[in-house]
Amino acid sequence: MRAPRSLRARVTLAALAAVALIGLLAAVVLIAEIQRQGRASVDRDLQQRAQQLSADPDGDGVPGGPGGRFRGGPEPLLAGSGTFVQVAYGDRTVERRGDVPSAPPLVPQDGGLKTIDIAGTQWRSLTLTGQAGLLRVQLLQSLASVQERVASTRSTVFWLDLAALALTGLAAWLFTTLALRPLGRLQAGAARVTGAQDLATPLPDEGPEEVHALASALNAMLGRLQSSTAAMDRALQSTRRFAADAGHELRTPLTGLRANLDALERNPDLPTDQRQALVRDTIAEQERILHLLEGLQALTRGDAADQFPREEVELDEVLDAAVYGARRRHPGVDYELDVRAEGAALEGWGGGLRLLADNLLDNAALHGGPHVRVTLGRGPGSLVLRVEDDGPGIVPSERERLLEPFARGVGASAPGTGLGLAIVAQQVALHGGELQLGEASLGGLAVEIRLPAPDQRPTEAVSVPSASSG
Amino acid sequence: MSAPPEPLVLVVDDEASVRHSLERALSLEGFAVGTAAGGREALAAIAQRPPAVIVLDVAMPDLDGVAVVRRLRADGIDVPVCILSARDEVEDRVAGLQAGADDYLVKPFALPELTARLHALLRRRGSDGAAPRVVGDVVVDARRHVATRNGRDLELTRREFEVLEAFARHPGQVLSRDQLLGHVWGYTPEVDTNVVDVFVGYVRRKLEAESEPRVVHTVRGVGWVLRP
Repeated sequence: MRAPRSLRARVTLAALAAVALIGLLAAVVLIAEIQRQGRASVDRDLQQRAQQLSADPDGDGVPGGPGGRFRGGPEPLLAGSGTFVQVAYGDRTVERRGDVPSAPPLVPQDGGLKTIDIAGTQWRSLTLTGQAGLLRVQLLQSLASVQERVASTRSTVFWLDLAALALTGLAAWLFTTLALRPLGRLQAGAARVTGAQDLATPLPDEGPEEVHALASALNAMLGRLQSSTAAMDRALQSTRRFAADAGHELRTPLTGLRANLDALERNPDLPTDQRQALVRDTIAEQERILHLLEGLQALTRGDAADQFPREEVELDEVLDAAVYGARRRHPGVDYELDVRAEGAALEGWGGGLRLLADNLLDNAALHGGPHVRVTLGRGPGSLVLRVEDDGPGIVPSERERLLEPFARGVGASAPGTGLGLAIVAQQVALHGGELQLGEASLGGLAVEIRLPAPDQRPTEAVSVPSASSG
Repeated sequence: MSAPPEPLVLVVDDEASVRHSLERALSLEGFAVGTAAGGREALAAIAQRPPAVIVLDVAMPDLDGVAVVRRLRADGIDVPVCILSARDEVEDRVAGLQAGADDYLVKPFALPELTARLHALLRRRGSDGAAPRVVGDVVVDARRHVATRNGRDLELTRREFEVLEAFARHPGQVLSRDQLLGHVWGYTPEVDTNVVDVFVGYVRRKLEAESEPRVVHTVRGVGWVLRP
């Protein structure tokens, strides 16, 4: 038989089975005990009477004198008492007294106690034997009263058991119903969670400890779902922003590109210098598109940068390579690199830090003058990177806004993508740092970045006379 | 047997437009050009007619560029490889260089940049067969093409080996990025120098894999120096 699926039915059935088993056991033990005690008391009576008989005054070997006390005629008091006595000599029954049943048995040959059946009633019998074994006296007592007590006990126990079963079933059913009610409420609460907006509502946390633990676990799960949904929302939003920004910003250079290509196609006989100029413009537009695309990709990647492997990055090395590259890209700009923090290592994303440095250096070259100063120093528990230019700078009220994508300085005419500082700000945030825009001692904009870093360890730095290069 | 008049370049890219424009442009620049649309096709083409140099896209659907380089190097085919990757495929690019590619370019690139690199890759320097050079605990054996530190084989790829060998040939002397580009890649200084930083980084990491002290030191604003 398959177990029922419902917990309530299972608990109830298990309780009923346990109570039924206990009731059965109790009944068996109780009845056996009553039978045992009844029989023992009958045996005691028989033995007592046998002792009275064994007084043998006339010495003929038969207790109670010649013919014994039984010769005294019928004893009306014995009628209906459920006891009688038989005396046998040899094969012949010589005397019967007492409450003799209609079909009395023969007196057995051997002595002792035994239980016999006379016309469907149980009797206990004690047989005494004379010396030759010829004379035998059998005392008998009916067990009917014992059997009646057993029967009445059996019926009492049966009804008691039945009542106990009914009560147990009811109690188990009610108790499980009550215990399961908080689970039902939990289930209803969980069923109501259909969308991200429901994740903020916690499920009812009540009921016994086990249900409470379940509710806590479910609520914790809802919390995790909520935060991962929020992360997904952010990713989706950054993708949407990428698509919208890219569409908007790419349209302009693509229009210029198409115009140049059309001009080239429609005027196959352009003078060489004009044709060259058009082609150069076209290449410049293509490069602008490329920079924009790279900036947007960098921002989008940065938005999902949690999965980037962190590694030990030597910021002074990154800056050295970045300055070298910037000097290449902007031959007219004089970059001055001053590193006051040797072995400037931090845990970070190498590619992102290079991106940060490249954008700062390009920005300074595009919006500043011919002189850019880069310093790397140490603060308490941090590395401090400062990039200063000698351009016009930015008025304080404008500074915050410039950290947003596609924000350009008022009246800015330089060919920036509007993404540089946004990328820098994003990388700073990714590395848990701080960014401040201020005024440079050179006169232009100063960007100061603090990145958390462990304090200096001894390194194998060699000092080589710094060569000036540019 | 006479050498072909034009060096054969094998262009491997799954994008037909890239294949076709590179085929046209490189032909105009004086190369013989073969093309393959995927990794397996490339391996078949190389087996059939070994090119002088390979331009290999990293992201391809059937067998990617990294796997192609790995297979070539495992088969002992030493033809120079320049891999192409998008800006955001940094991990693929790194894997390609670690697998033994000689150079990389980020898509999109300017044609002069690509031809300069191809010419440089074609100007292969043979090993000079000199005695092993010893700088501190670093030993560079050009004849056996093995570099060790403290007896530990550094397992350098060919490009990495050439970078370390360039340093070992000038111990204690500062080499600039341009000098390294010239020594190792055979480039003119116009090309992007970031590839030098990348390879010096790899060599350093392998030299310091067991937390040994640094031997390739940065000389700020100039380049690097090998000194024990």
